[in-house]
Amino acid sequence: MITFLRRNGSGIILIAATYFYFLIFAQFAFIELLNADLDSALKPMMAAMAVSGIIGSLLTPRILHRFGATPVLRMALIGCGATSALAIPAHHFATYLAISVGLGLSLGILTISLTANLRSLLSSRSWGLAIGCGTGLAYACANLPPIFATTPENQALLSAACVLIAFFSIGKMKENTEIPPLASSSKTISFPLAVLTFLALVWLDSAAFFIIQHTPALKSSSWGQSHLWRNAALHFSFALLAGYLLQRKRVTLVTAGAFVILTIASLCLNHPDIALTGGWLYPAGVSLYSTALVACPVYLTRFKNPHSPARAAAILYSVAGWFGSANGIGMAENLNHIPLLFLAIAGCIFLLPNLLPHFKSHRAEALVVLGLTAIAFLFSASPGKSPAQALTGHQIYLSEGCIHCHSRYVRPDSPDLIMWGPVVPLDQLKKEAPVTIGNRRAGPDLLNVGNRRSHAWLKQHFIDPQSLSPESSMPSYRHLFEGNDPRGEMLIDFLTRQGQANFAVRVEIIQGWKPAPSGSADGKSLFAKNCAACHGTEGRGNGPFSKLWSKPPANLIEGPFIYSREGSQNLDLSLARIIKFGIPGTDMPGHETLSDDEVVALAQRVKIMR
Amino acid sequence: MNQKSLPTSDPILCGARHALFWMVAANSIGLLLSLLLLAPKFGLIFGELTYGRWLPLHLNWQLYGWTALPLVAWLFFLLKESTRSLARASSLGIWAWSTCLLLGGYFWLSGHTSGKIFLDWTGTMRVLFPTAILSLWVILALAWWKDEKRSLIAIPGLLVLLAVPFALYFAADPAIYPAVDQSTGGPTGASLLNSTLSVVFLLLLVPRALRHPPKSPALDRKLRAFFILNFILGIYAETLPSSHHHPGQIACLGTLLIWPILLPLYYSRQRWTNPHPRWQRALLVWFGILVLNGFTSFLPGILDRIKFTDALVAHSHLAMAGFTTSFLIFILQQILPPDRAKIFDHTPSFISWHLATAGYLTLMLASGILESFPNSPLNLHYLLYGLRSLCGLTLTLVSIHWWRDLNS
Repeated sequence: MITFLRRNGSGIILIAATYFYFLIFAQFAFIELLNADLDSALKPMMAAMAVSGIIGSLLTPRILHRFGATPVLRMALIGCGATSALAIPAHHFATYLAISVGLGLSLGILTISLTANLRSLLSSRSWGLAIGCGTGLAYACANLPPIFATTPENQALLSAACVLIAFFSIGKMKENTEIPPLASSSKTISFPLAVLTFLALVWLDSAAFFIIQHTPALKSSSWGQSHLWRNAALHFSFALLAGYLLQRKRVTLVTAGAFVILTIASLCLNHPDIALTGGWLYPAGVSLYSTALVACPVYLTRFKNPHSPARAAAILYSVAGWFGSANGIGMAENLNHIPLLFLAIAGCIFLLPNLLPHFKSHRAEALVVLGLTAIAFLFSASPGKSPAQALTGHQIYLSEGCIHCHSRYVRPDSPDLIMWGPVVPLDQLKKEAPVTIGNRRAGPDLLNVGNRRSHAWLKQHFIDPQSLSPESSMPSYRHLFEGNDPRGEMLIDFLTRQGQANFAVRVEIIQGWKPAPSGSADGKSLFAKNCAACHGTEGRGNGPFSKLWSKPPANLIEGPFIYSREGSQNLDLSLARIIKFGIPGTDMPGHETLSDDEVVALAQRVKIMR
Repeated sequence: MNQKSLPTSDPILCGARHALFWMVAANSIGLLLSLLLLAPKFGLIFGELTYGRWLPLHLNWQLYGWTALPLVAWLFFLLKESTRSLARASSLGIWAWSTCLLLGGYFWLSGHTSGKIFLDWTGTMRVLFPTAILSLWVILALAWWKDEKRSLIAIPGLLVLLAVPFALYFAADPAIYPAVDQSTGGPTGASLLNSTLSVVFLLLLVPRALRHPPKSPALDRKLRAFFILNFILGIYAETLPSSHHHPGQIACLGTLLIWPILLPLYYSRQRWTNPHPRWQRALLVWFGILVLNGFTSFLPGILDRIKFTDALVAHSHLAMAGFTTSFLIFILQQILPPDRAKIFDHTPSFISWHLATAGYLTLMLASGILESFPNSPLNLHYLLYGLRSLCGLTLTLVSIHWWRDLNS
């Protein structure tokens, strides 16, 4: 450990300080200060920073060539420190503009001169871990609650202090020309591919960052006080992991891993129900690729010319860093989500370079693949069409794969009969093409579902299954109801027709059923779990879902009691049957899987509410 | 044929590579499916591509990719001398096969399905995939024709293989449905018996098809005679009432229980020229468990409870991840060059695979038993499904390891 720090200490401090400065000052404190003083000037200031950042980056190779690494790094650090210190007293447009330009130039020069000269700062044996350590430290520190939550002025001062420490940590650095070149390795990536890869990653990261930052619920759940320690730990761990993998030349694993994680995070952010998961994934993906981005110019791409790393870094950070970041933010700002098309294009950027070399050596195979694909699409009736355009409810049932979780078969002389009955003869079922008996019941049997569930209930269940069945594994099919898509309604029409012909037999089954309790159950908790969503916690018919139905749910305290009149001979039995089987023809569903003990306990609970 | 003389388009190696690719793909989708069941809201990130759209890919890629392609490679091995000149065409035939699976995946995900589990070929793909199989048959037939020592015994085999693409086309017709046990809605005892006997036939065929001379021809003859008797019994069982409560159906299916004893005896009396005892033992052990589990699951009182539950998912995985995978890897080890065959002997991956499979089966069996008592106070759903995903992850990682090793 001590040897590791002795060999890499200066490099780790410089990487950590640079990233910390970028994260805390350039991304947060400066924008906060600017917003407080000149809200409307944010966009021109950001544009000025981006343009000067690109200019600074592109000029750095020449500056490095002329002055050498050590003085350039020191000058850039002074520039960064000065801009953050000057931002505190600034209040006027012109001052902010000057700071924006200075910040862009200094940061541009600092990142290029640092990443192009890492070999003189880090040990050749442990550069990966050192870069991971520096990057992870910066992200972790930036997420520490006392730093993250302090005022922008304090953050600006902290950033200035950090670059000052970095300034004093620089010793006499060797120039790239004085260091023997790295051994060539087949596992490094080509420079154009690296630029495209990091462009996609930065673009994705910036868009996700913007969405989190500008969605209050997401911001509090991703960067709220209670999540900051989690984020710090995730950032540090994944940066170290990335460093370890990069040292072992697992470049594609790191970048592809970052892409997959950021893609899933982005997809999660597009859906409010699962957006919080994005908060877990985002720090992991960002740290993976950020570590690789630092290592890329020197360690991950091959150059013969010792001055090339600086040029490579300049192009990489200009295109992927500044350009990618600006476009990612622009995309999120305009669309407020991350489009699937963008994710698909970014995915192709990862896949195509890996596939193209294989095409050259497998031309005949490529022809077979392309030929068959062409035939499949040319001769298919509607390969690209959505199933909605032609189909019946039965076909939508097949298309959506309902058969994989729902049977359509009631076994004679079995408990199926009470729950899902009546039986439909096998010969009649075998006339359907295809037969959809199925072989799994992750959900209930649907053979007679039309006798048990109303149109409104099915629709709500398709849109948000867990709202009605909290432990259900069923996915949401809300997309079938979006816009003018007719599929949802067609599917429900198909389901509500199931069992209609057997309605009278179903009623007979219900009338023939009597509970046979063998123990007891907690009616109060059962009511809260199964009834309160519609009938309300007190049973007044005012639960959160009460407005979804064609008629409001019964007020179980005051009535009127249409289906279970007070004083009727078998009130207990009527209530039990309603609970177990629902009220056919209304939105009241059955609770077929409840045991007799539970049904009786619930009936008692409902009875004493009156 | 040693490794050094292998052309890059060697159809046996090509078949093995494609088979393992489909194993990785199918297992990855299986893992995704297990996660979707564990946390259904995560499915929102895939939009329209819900659980039901992904499942056909998992099932069909396991069957037509991982299971079928090693058997295709085995056929090329049988005619390896004469397929040498047809190696390029053979490899292209395998690529055509894989392309059909890929296109099938696209159509299933798009919601184009016949609704027939394991026979989900519809539209153009119902013609295209059998055509790809037929093209491989033509190559095989040509190879046989070119073989100077061609044997007439191969003709019935070739004719049976010729029937495969046509049978697939007709069986994929939505109007066709096999015999059903009215009391369960599932397969009859007779159909279970006959499908297992086809597996027994394949297991009996292995040593001869690999051209290994028997140590004990007398035992071979006795087993063949017993198999024929069992086969006749299978035909007779088709005439019995289909219910699993019928004693005749139970007794006929029960005759299978002898094979987990006879097959190890048969395999121990062979002169294996390329012995890989580890996978041979694995396949025989899993076969024994499969038959025992299958028979027990069929019994009245048990099947009535576990039908439609995870206990039958456990049985399917016992068949695929346990027995079929062990059998296919054993076959691949027999037909691949030694330096490729040894990748499956990697001890950590061997142990991980079987432990994960055993874990998977135990968890799904437990889940199925709990499911069969709908009012059980125990709610271990999330725990069991979470652990199941871990087993799925292990199986996926091991398959990736094998695929990577075969391609390196």
